[in-house]
Amino acid sequence: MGAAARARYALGMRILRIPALTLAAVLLGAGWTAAAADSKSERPPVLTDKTYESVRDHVVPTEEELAFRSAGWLPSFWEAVVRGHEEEKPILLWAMNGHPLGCT
Amino acid sequence: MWNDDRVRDLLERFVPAADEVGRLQRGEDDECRLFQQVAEQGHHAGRSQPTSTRQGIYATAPSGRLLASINHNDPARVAQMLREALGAWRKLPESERYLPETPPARPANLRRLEDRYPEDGLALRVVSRDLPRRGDRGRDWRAAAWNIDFAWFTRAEVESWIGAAADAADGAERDAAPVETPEALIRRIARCHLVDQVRGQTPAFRDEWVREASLRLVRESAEEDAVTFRMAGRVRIDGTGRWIVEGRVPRGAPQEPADERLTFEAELLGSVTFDRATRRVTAFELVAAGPRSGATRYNGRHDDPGPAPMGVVLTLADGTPAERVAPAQIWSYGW
Repeated sequence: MGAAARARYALGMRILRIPALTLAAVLLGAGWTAAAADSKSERPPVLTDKTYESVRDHVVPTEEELAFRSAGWLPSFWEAVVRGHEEEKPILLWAMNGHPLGCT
Repeated sequence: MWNDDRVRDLLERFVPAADEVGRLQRGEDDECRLFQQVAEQGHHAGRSQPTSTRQGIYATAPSGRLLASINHNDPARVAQMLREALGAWRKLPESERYLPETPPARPANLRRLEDRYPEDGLALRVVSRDLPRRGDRGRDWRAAAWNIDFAWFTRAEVESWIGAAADAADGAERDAAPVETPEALIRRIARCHLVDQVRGQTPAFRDEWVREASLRLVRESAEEDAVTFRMAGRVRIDGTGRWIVEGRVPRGAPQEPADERLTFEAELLGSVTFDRATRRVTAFELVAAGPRSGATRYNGRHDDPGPAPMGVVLTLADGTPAERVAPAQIWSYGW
């Protein structure tokens, strides 16, 4: 993925990262208190309009976390075979249980 | 690993590709056969125990001649492997670098799940991550783990869901009636995309474990052909199955399947915009958040069964090759 595409991706993902502590404060302030696994008495978590943006921004990956994609990975081995012939280059194949560009 | 400068500099001298290994090592088309030829020269050649997986990092000539391979995520070791591969490439005669015939752009026998990409439907990016909680989650990669997947919907499915809501809103006065997401679709979202794969792969939930699943669309605004809906709903998963949880017992010790209960109770909020002229979804964002519990075989929760909060965010995929990868749970779609 090129720089422009990465920029589009980052824009699309609305990368507005906030520290986890800030999110924790927002969630706790909004009544999200069931985060502790060891406390059965706490109330269940609630996603509200108030916590929505904080939760979303916490979950989506940062540009740094997505930087590995900027190497321009082709999404299939065969495409690399074709490109390797065209560009007279060796292939580096990253093969995982689950597609490495998706869920592994 | 791939962000390490030593690795990145070397990677530029290769054609980098990523692919799912299960199909490659078991399939019978030209792509799979060539991979099998490469893998059987590599680090897992001939291996069948503890698994037969051939996952790893392979440097190969386009001919299928292995240059070097490794199954590790240490940048120094990967960089060393890449240097060795470039050395082997330099020594490899031209006649052994390439296939005898120029490879076709697409072999006639090639079958990939990406062929089902919904060009005229809807493709979403699905990201999951743990939400903040009290207590020490450790300081290794798992504390900040996240995973990405994709969700696909055919044009017919989009029409039956968001398109139908937009048509219902067309011409209605301000208080257009809310529209429920078709049960089959919201149950599929719950089964296949609200799973706990933050740390690693997990199967789809069984349909009977989906105790509650709803997603209501309420018209928020309409501007010419674009109709925007607020989405709100809830999902409750609760089911028990029997399987091995990797990591629960020390490596090498006997492992026996045991009953495992999986739960996820999530509130859903978001918005979607549909263009009635093009019949396309032009904006989509859905957040699911709530407590999850339980562990599956490979999802890395053997030491973190919860309950603990997890978030999932679904947004439009950008259509680049990296975002046309098939959903991990496509086998459970019923397509």
